[in-house]
Amino acid sequence: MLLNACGSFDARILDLMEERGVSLEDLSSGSRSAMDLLGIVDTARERIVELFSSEWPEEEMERCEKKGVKVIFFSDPEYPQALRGINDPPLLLYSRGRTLPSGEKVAVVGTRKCTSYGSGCASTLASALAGAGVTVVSGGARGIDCAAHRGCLDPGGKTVAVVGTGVDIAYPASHASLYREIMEEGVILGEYPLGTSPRPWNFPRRNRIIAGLSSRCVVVEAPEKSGAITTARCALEAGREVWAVPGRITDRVCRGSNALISDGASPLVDIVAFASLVSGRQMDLFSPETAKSEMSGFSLTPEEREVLRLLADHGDMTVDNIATEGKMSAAAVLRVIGVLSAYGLVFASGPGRWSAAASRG
Amino acid sequence: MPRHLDLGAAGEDLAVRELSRLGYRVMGTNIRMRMGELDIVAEEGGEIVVVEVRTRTLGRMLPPEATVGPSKIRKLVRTGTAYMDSIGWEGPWRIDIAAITLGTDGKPALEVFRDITVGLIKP
Amino acid sequence: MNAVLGVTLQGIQALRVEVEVEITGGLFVISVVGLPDASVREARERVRAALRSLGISVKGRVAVNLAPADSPKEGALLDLPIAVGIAHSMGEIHVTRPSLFMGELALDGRVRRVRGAVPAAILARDMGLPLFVPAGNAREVSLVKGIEAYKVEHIRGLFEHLRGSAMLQAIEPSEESVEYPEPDPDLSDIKGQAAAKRALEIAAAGHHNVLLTGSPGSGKTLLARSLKDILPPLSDDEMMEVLMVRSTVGLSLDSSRRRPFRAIHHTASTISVCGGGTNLRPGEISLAHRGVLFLDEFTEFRRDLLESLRQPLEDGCISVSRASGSVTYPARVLLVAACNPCQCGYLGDPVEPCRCSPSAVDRYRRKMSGPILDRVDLYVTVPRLTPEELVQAEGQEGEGSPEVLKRVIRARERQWERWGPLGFQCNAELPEKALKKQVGINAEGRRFLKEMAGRVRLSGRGISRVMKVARTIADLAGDVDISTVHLAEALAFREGGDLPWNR
Repeated sequence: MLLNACGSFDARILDLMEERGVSLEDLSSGSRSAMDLLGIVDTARERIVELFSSEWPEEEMERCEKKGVKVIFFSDPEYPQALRGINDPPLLLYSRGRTLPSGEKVAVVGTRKCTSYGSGCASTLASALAGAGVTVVSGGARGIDCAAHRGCLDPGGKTVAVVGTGVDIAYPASHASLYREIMEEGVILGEYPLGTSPRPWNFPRRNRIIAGLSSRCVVVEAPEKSGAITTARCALEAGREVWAVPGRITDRVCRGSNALISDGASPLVDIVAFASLVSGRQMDLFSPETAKSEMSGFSLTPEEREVLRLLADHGDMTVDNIATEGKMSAAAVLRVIGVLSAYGLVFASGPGRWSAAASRG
Repeated sequence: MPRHLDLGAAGEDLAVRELSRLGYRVMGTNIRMRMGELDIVAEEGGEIVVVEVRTRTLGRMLPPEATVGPSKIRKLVRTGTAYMDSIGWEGPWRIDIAAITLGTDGKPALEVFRDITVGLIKP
Repeated sequence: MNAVLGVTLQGIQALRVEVEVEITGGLFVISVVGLPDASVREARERVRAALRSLGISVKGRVAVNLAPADSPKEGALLDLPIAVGIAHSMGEIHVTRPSLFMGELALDGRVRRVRGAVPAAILARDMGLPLFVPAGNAREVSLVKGIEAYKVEHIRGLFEHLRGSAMLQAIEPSEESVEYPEPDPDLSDIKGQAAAKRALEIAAAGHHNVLLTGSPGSGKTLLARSLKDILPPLSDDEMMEVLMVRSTVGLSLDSSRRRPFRAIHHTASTISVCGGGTNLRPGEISLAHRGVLFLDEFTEFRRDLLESLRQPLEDGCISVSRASGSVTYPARVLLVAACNPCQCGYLGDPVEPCRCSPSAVDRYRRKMSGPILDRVDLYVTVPRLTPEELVQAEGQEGEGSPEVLKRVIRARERQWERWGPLGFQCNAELPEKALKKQVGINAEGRRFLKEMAGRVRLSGRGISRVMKVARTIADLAGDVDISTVHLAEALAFREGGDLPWNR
């Protein structure tokens, strides 16, 4: 635990210690030869000695207990198998929420400054994956990450958020309720000690965990120098499949994700097909009846179902569009939108524009 | 007699003649009160008019009417008010200036400035 | 009571001023008691010159007394009564009946237009006295019924009238108020935007305040302006109130019964919006009385300006004070606020990418709250139509404003019937208690509302708003009870129900 706190250490060090015959006592005493054997740099040496002499690990464990945070060490059986296989697995994981879901996991990542198209795709993709029983892994950040978590939660799926802060911190603050929801069925994971505040250099490190936990990594929308591209690279290094959603070639916001495709990532152009591929199940085409049974007992009126169908087919529409296509009055459309948005079945993707939340068509 | 006094007397006569021609009914000249003297007192347009006569030769520095400064005006007001009291006049009155300028050709010109205290009296 | 009377303005009310003149002997001087010195100096010159233009030469010591002496008065309006008073005292004319005079004098005797003619006319009506006003004010005075009034071009005409040698032209009451002027813009001039138009119809019917959110170019300003033409025409009393405010400011009059529309820019000074200044003049909010007050770019408004709007939105009137006293102006308005979805304006746009950082989006969002938006019942989003959508919208203009207005009027009538006995005029005015008891929601509706309120986590205030709006929707449809149908539509306009960052 201590080593973890000193930063930049991963599980490899334990192997090294065994290999070279260095014991914990050696490290705690600050023995130079021990440090040399392990290749520890000066700055880290001081920290190690300092922390060893203080009561920090015990206090940290106490804090974890108080906040309901579980600590999963590298040596524990619960440590995700998938993570063991990567290059530099974390020494330990702080975990908050339920146990880590088993089964297929797919990482859905992207930029914070996404377009409504991007967030819509992330959300729909996540919902489809949730419907197929797949866990969605992402970073808890604004934009694509948030859309992915939400899209997974709405139909009652499980999602994992890997954060770059302490797991007790809600960053960004506006996501506090999102995290609470994630913890109901899923889990929040982090490598950093409790109370670690968000620092830019912490986030690239956590991306490798996102990549490592998942069997596949999907980049929905990302510009060239983006954290999501880092995640994709980690995934590649770890031997995972990388997918990317194609974006408009004139938009800077997806230049990175588009470049991944030209570099060999698989283009994700059919959400249903992808969900089927991942889950190994044949996904049903969208039907209102399925929607009904999946969504815990909403009974929709014919008008409501019609609007939902239109939105599923068309992407985003204004009230005018819906009224024209559905041959309804504006007031009737507004009624339907009022109800459907309250149920969470539709959302506003922009001023005056509505999209279906969980469509699989 | 000093020349300027000569001029003065001649000016006053001229003023009386001209004012009468303009419709002033001259009631008296050179009226002496305790605090000062009124050159001409006349009646015109329903009020009593105190006329102060000023003469001067063209070419001198100040125009005749400008020689009536604030203290002179105050004196005229006091003197005039005393006169009105003395004759028991309770109606409206005003102060005019008759300015006589002697041209180079020797011909005198008369200009009348009506009601010089307008705007100067505090209500 | 003196025969010669003038007026002075206190707010939009005219108060009578008695003009007493005493002329004695002595050097000529005009003194005026009851006016500030600066005004006196100027008034003296004008009055004397105007009288001289008639060959009336003012002599002696003139003492003018304006009673009551201690209330603040404005000089220019009183030129005419002072001149009349002096001439009357000199015996040049005789004012036999007590009469009201108002007007500013030019040096040549012409009588100039002044502000406040309508309040003066109302005073004349209430006192039963004849009124003499400048010809330039004749039109506004003609809109006040039940008065004897004359228009004065030149002081000569007035004196001849008073001497009985020639009559001044009387001001005939005018019937020209146009009840339904041409809508500008007409709803059918706006392409698409069915949701926003429906929201405006609801706003007009129930007098609900509105927030329009949309990207630049989505047409929010045009939509806001169309609201004034679907509001019911001004009633007689309301028209008089509007006239009084405009006349007090000295603006030209619009004789139509169209509701006022005033747009204020976020850089406007508090005085220009709320009123005040040297003469305690009414501000924009009073000029918008009984009409629409439009706050464009709502998020850019200074907090102190918004704070000062709170009281008038609550009470329907605004107090303006200075050391010399205070005055209350009417300010009962329908508020329309407009803003962008984010700082750069393009969050959620189908074409333009949003350039805002996530924290900037949060910061902007926080500006969309506060005491003013608390009074908004309808939250409407306005899409920016792409060129394809605009083309598609051709030929689908929808109804014109007159049709919508008819429904609005009927809905209003139902509200008057229902709330009149309780002392309210429309659904938006209803306080919480009355709402809960009287609004007429059926059992199914109640259940529906409870469920939905839980789902979207509506606050108590949010629930009240939904109920009020649903009541208006029901009134528009002519339904007695509120059912789920009306509540569902009201839900579409709930606060935060439509913003992508609410996810």
